[in-house]
Amino acid sequence: MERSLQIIVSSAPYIFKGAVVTVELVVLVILIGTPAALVVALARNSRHSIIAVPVGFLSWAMRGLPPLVVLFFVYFVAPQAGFDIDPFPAAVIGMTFYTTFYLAEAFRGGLAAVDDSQRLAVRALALPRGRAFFRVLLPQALPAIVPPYISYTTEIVKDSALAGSIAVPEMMGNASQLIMRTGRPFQILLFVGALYVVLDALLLIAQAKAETRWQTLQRH
Amino acid sequence: MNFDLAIVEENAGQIWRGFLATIGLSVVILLVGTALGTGIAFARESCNRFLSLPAAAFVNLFRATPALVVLYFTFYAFPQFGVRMTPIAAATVGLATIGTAYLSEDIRGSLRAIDPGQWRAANALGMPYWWTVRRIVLPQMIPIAVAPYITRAMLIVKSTSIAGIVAVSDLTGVTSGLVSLTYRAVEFLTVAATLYLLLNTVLSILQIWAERRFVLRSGH
Repeated sequence: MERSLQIIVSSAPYIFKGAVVTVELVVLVILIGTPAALVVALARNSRHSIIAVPVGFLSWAMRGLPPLVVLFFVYFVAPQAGFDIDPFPAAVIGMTFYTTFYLAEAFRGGLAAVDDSQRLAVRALALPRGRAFFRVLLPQALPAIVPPYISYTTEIVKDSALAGSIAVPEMMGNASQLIMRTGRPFQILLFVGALYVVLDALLLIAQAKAETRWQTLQRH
Repeated sequence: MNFDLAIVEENAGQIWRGFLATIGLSVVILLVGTALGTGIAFARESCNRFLSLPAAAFVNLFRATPALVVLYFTFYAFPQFGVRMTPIAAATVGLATIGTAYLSEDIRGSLRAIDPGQWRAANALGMPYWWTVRRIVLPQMIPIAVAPYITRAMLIVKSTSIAGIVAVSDLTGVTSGLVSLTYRAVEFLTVAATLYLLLNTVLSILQIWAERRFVLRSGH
């Protein structure tokens, strides 16, 4: 028991260093992926099939591939195409690429839940399309968007563990190095697993906060 | 960047065996996950707290932990306690555990969709519990479960790709091996991606068939 604690204490700094990279990775993917997902959702809902069909196909393909295969694509194909890419940007690009299409489905579902009369109303009032979308339609879609959106962001946290396999020094990558070095996988994995659960829990708390906020807003 | 088809043909046998390993792994996870997941779903909905609480803890624990952490447990940490498994066995145990947790949630969703009146009616007719489950509840759950179940099956197929990280020669494992051996990333990753999308397409077709078979018939 004392031995186990020693292992956890001595490996903690390196694990925390990885945790910082994990958080950076997740935050970047969410920050880039969210506006991109909104664009993809609108493109998939477009009346012009020349936009909707190719984006729909790309969405089907990206959501049908294992995340690891997408990461390998970015990391290994880029050098073959003639430009070098570091592991971290490769992971950000790869993860953002498929994440965008999953998040876009959350946006699409939420927008579909807005009553059609609202669309007719903004047309009748001759609101400019941009303002109608951001001031009328999107705010009403948000309560339906948040739960699937947050539950997908917990997937991003868990998927970030795969970045270690393309040499990103994130939490899981660092943990597997420590496993090789110390030969004590159980203690290290327990520690790392607990940290992932904490990260996920933080996101779920954010969801609960957001939901109660909207419920109080709707009551007024 | 030219596409070298000859190098794919040279290694076709290996890729094929990896593809079969991916299918085999997915089928075993689905079979184990469906059987255990059904049990856990009923346990979670049980009035007995000694059944429902551990079931809920199991499901939430494995849904919050990254799959890679679980695989590292079965692959690296189990031998620390004298449990030694081949890579494929370790991957199967790890992925089947996670698959069970997720499948039990999908099955529980359809279990909750059954009108409680059905249970009460069966009870009033003096049917024993197991008979009620087998003859009344399960047949009504199947049509509701088809769509989420197939969606989950697709996610499980994709989840097997991380088995390659713990030395399993599944499709992704074989592919990443060939990529680091030949430096021809585009060719092998394109083949792997196509095969994964092919599996997804087969599952989509299966869903259409299953919905016709079960959902339409239950409409009578």
